[in-house]
Amino acid sequence: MAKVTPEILANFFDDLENDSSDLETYAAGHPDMAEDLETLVEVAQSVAPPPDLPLQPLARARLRAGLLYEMAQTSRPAGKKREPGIKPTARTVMGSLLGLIPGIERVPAIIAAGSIVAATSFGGGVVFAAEAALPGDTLYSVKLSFENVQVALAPTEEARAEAFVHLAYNRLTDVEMATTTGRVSSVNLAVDSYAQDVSEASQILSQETPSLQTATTLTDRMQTDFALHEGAIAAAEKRASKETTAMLLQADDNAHRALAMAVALNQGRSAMATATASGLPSAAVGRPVRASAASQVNPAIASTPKPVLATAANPPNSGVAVLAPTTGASVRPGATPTPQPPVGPRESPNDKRRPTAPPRDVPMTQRLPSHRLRSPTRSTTIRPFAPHSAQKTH
Amino acid sequence: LNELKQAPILSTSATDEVALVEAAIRGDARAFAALYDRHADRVYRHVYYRVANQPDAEDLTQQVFLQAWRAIDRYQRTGAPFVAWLLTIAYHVVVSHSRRVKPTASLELEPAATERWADPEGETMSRFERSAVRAAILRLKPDQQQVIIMRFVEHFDHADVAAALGKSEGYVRVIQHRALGELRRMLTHEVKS
Repeated sequence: MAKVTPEILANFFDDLENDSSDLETYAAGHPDMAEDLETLVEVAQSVAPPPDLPLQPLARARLRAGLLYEMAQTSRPAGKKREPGIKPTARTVMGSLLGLIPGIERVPAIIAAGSIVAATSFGGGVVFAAEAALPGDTLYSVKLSFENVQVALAPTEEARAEAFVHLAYNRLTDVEMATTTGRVSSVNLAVDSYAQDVSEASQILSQETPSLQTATTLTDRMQTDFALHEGAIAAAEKRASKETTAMLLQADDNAHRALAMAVALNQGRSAMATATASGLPSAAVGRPVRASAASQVNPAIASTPKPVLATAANPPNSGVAVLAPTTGASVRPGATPTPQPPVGPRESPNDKRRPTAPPRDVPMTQRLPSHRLRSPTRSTTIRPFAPHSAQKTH
Repeated sequence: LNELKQAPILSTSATDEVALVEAAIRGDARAFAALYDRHADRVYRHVYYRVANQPDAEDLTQQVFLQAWRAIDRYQRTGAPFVAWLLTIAYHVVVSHSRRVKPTASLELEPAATERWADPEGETMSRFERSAVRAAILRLKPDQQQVIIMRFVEHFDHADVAAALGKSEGYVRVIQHRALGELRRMLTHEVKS
């Protein structure tokens, strides 16, 4: 059997594509090569195209937004790209411009108003440019500062809580966008900021001023937002360098704790309301566990062992931080645990919460599956995903 | 070989495409965004075929377009469809990605539910053959892999593949011949074993 030559094979394909021949005719013209030709054509036939898998509309929009953003960062036609993943300098740019002291997490209204005036004086272009900034950009701290103005100017406690929830959502979107555009080295700032926003929101929602309905709605929103974005955070953890991963895990832990606390506080409020409605004395129910916002994001606390469920192996006073079985609230080692009445949903036998603290190098999505964050008594409504930053880039 | 007869599917006329590419070369981001809108699915499908992993395919698709934007000054107007140039970039992006990322168990390519055969046995065989052939293609040498995918998955003709790769048509023909021979050897060996 003679071997078919590359030229004859290519000519056959050309003829076939032009409908000027078929395998039978061609093989008849080259009888000595027919067998070799037929088997090669058979192999070519077996190369099926991939199944029709168009980009999902959501992914398409997200990629487009990320692409446009990166394109805006890339000077052309010189084609030199700004280095991605610039080390974030939290609040440094705005702080130096406006005299904000590093460490001040939320600016008072007067400073906020001053910031607007000052920024307008410096040129609205900075603020405009900062709107689309992502973790890793120099202007990202400017963006955070100006978004905090929304909180400072909120007229009511409910509006403040909602503003914090909105900011938390923005931070999660930043994480997703930054991860998509390969800036995983900088996302820990956004995750840290997310933890602070959730913590602040949960503090406000645990007060009596916001209605229980508002508190429940906003807590659900936080849970849903987190569930929608946890994949992005996990992806960032997976791709980041070792050093960044450690920082990200720390930030992630803080976020985890803050959200768990928000859920616990809300459950506590719900239980109080239920007990009051059923005529039980409030003392029998106990107060919802409070924790300062600072304590939830304080690295010293975050470095303590991760809270675990109170079990026979880990009684509340065993020195291990435990999650109160009914509220999920964390109790620090050595502290007298707040009496936990039978409030909130009871533990189901099928509850999959881990009885022990998982290792810190395990991705967050494995440490805290999204179903753990959802209150079993309420159904969450998934809001359509609308990337905040993506909208701005269009 | 009916699929081989199909011309590459372009969502717009060639004239529009040329105008958009020209505008993009001048730095018009909107024109480039329009090119993204037209070719994102094709590039994604191509990347997905090679990585078989949705998140990676999405990330890499974005990288492909970003690299194309950065390098569009170097785009040669050779007559090859613009998407062929994009797919060449996609090839390099995937190769670079494969070097960085440890191989993991990837999902097999699943046909869309609407495309599945009514015959379960036939579907099973089809999936097996498709995955076996795909796996064999991905074991080819890089240049062979690129030519086979461009020719028989993306259905570009010899001239377009040559233009996209910056090689001669003779080179493409030789590589195609070698690659099909190698695929035949691998698939035959697989069937025997």
